[in-house]
Amino acid sequence: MEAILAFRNLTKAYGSRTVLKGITLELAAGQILGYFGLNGAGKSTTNRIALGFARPTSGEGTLFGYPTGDPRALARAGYLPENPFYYEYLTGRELLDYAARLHRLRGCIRGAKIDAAADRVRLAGEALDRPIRTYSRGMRQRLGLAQALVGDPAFLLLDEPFSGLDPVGRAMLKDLLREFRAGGGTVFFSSHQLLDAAEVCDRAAILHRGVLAADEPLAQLMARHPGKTLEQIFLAQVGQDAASDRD
Amino acid sequence: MNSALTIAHFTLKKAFREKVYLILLLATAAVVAAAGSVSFYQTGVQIKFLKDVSMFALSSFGFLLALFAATELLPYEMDTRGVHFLASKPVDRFTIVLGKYLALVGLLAANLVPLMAEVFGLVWLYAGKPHWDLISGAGLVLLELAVYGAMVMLLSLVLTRLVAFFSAIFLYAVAHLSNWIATTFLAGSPAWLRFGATAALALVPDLSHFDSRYVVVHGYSVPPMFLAALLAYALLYVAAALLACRWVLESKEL
Repeated sequence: MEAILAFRNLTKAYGSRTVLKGITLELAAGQILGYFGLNGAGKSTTNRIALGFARPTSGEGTLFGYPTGDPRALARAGYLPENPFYYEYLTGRELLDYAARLHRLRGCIRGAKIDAAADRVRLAGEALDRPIRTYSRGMRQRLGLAQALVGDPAFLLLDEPFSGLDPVGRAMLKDLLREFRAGGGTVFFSSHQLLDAAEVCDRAAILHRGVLAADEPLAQLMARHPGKTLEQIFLAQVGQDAASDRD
Repeated sequence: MNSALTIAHFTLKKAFREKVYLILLLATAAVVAAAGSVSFYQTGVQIKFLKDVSMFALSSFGFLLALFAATELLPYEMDTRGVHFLASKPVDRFTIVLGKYLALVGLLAANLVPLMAEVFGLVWLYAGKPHWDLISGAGLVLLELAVYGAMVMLLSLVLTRLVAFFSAIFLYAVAHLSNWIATTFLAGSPAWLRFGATAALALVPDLSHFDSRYVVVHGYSVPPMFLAALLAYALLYVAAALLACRWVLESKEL
């Protein structure tokens, strides 16, 4: 089966600093992959390459079989950035309309998709018609998720999706991801919230110092470390570097 | 093209909800109205005076608007990472450039048209008849700013904000001094100066062509053939600048 997202020997260097060192990874349809690493490990760089915002120094990345950044692949993808920035003077509904139009959704279909996306992240009603500048951090995160969903994607790339969400929001997100997977969708997300992530991902990849320290089905990873949480496994993988790298 | 229009539409929506452009517009409308009041008390030359001040106010306002908007549109998206919203959607980089440029032209038109209507109305009021020649004058102002805006957008992509801002002012001056540069530096100058002048004349559009809008002050119209030639000249430079913007944006990491 063809991979939805694939990286082959991906290397990315900024000057003399090599952020990613030969990452090879394939994500099949219907999988949720959690991508974990310390701050500065290279997670965001991987995300940027996956969407074509940055180019690898060597190696290659493909999304739906197209080179990363190809509009044909992006038409089937949704993206939530780590710190969503949107035009503050637009309302939530206008932003979703903007995203839907860029996905070339037309007329009444567009309106229905906007309502459905807002409903899925529980951002419907009066809040949707308020300017974004009045939104709380959690509402912005929900709006970010809604704009990622509005184009009816088959693949979601989420950067820190649990960030800023309260317990109700995190539960909503986990339900949403499970539903998305049940519908055949594929998800690649990076997160520091390992306990939440462990509840939804099928596969865990741990990035440390630019290389994949682990990449295997979550159940297999947990079975190899009986009695340990994903967080404990992660800390064991990144070892003594964790404390110093976090600062 | 639809995606470019969508980007332009939402960029304009954001711009109109910010007060800065409205304040600039009201200030210029006040200048035009003041010129109208002053010319009312003059005899003989009142229409010429009103047209002269109005065309100058329109050009100056348009220049400031193009300068601020064109140096801001793309760098704002890059600095705030708002460009990630656009680049994660199925649009190529040229569509983003084109959308932002159309927003700039839309912003210029939306601000210049009401001002022009004010001038047109005042002149009609004082002269007792409409002066249609003003429309061709206003068209030339808009055309000049459309060319200038495209060049400034390119500067804003390759330079830092502050440097782009001052370079854009310098560009406006150089673009209006083509004749002076040609007569001063092309003959009898050292080779490096001749080379620099030749390069500047080739790369920078000659905006002094658009100064012919001032013929409307004297009651003449801009000949249609001349307008058509200027339109072709403007389109050539706009297309070149936007293609260069596309190349720069494609080579940039977002």
